[in-house]
Amino acid sequence: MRKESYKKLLLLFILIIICFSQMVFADTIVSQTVTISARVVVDNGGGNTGGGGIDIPTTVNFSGWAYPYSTVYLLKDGFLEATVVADQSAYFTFSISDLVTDTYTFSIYTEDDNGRKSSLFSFPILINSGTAVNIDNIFLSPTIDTDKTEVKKGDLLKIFGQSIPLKEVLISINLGQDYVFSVVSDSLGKYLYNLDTSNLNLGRYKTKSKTIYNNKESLYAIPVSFLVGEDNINGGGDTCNTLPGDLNCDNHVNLTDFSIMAYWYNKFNPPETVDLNGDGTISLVDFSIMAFYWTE
Amino acid sequence: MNKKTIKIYFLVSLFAINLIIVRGVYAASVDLDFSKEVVGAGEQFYVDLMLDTEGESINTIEGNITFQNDNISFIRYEDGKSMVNLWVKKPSLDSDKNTLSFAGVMTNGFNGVIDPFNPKYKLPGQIIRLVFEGEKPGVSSFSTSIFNLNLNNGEGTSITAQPSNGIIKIGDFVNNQKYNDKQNSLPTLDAYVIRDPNVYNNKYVLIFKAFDKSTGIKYVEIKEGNKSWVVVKDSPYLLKDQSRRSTIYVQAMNNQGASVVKTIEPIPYHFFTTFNIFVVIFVIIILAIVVRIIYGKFKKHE
Repeated sequence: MRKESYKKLLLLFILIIICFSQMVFADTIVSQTVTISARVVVDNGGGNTGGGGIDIPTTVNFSGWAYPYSTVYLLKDGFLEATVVADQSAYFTFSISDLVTDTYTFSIYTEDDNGRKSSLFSFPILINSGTAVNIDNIFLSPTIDTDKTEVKKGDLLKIFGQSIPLKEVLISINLGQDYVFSVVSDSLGKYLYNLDTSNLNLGRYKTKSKTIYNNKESLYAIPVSFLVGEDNINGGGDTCNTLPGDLNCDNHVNLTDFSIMAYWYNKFNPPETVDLNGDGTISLVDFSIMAFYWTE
Repeated sequence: MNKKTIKIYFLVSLFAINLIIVRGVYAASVDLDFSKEVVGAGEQFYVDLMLDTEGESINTIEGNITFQNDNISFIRYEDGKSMVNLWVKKPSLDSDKNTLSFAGVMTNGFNGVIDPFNPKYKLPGQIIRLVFEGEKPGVSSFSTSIFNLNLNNGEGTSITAQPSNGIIKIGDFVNNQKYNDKQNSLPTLDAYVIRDPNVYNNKYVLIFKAFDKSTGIKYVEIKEGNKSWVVVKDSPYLLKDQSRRSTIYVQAMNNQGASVVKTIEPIPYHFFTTFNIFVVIFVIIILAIVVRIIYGKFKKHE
């Protein structure tokens, strides 16, 4: 082979490697649309405290979209700080004040009409005293559920949930790679997709969804799993088999589930339901899986 | 150098830079931040373990910090500002009193602290603060283990963070300045009773979580009915009174001495349970039979 051909081969090899590594990198980017802005609050001299100090207000304002008339929960450092009801268009706002300079972890979630929770939108932020911080365009995930936990191959599986009204919802089903189906939510934000399972092999699948709004993407819903098998088993009960980490089957992944798992940490023969990765022991990997599906 | 050679060098450089970036994605780092470089004998200082996730979302961390304790003494750890919100293994000193090990969870993942004035670049987050006091002149070194981390991706993918180290100098002078975070705060406490087939064979257990923003929790204790206070370390805690007829008091105390108490009411006693009704009916029947027998004998006697 000539020297020129070697160079061309080398170039091709380098380009392939670069493309591959960029794919890995792109996969780690989280698609979020939140905008954060801050300004220093100027005191006009009217805020003197009794002790003679200057009381400069510190406020943090949150705004975004949930579901029509859904209750939105704001947690500060893991404890409930405030609730608000979204309006007809699913828009909500919060405002909290009286914070001192520190790092706070805020978490926001909502519930749909049937009590299903959205993903928890959680972030730590440094708040300085005397500033006003706006956290806007918080785009909470839709909810997702299925009408069956096991569907007979060839039958229809209903995949449904709630989101912002009249917006596109993308439903992904993991079949080795993600297959995506698009539906539009109704005026109450509800959406439904009938999945034909004829083309699915027998086995367990995961499905999740996200909403598209003005070219912005919400977080993904907490994934649910279903089994394509030989029978139909209706869903709607507990989420033991569909929500990893829900160890006590109460449809939440929270402190109770953490405590149950902590009880089995480094113990022999943990129950199969607690051993989330099925390796016969409770390790940090199991806690990591639980932490991913955390709902509060 | 001709154009083709330049092109090749350019692409190779691009490739190398790219590899570094991709490698960086999987290499979070930890750092030890010292509040002071030099302290005097009697003077307190703190060391923060900071986690820089370098863009990754991470939800567990496990490792340890070792220090030379010849010239300094360990006072306490504080987790009030920690990104870890649940401890799987609470920070604890080994028998030599010079290694603190821990394992914790950051629910929903941590990928950096947002600075609202510069939101594009995220800041490292504190994992734990260790408070020490200088004792005698000299130098004390600190080092960490390789930290085991898990990605917040639903699969628990393991990665590591390279170890870090640092030193503090204890000068030949006395300074009795004590470290104290002056923010006044009350602890927050969540506590309730459950029972579950997977925990202590379905017996009643206390589930609790205490949090204090300023200095962290010093201890949590429980009092069942008239019994004395007992310090509880881990959730779940097996209740002594399994009848659930006692009022339970749970107290969380922070490192500044401020505390909060939560009361958990006992299960109300219902006399008219199915069992009790059966017992009452049974007793009435027996009494009726006895009365009937006595009355029969009395009649016969007459």
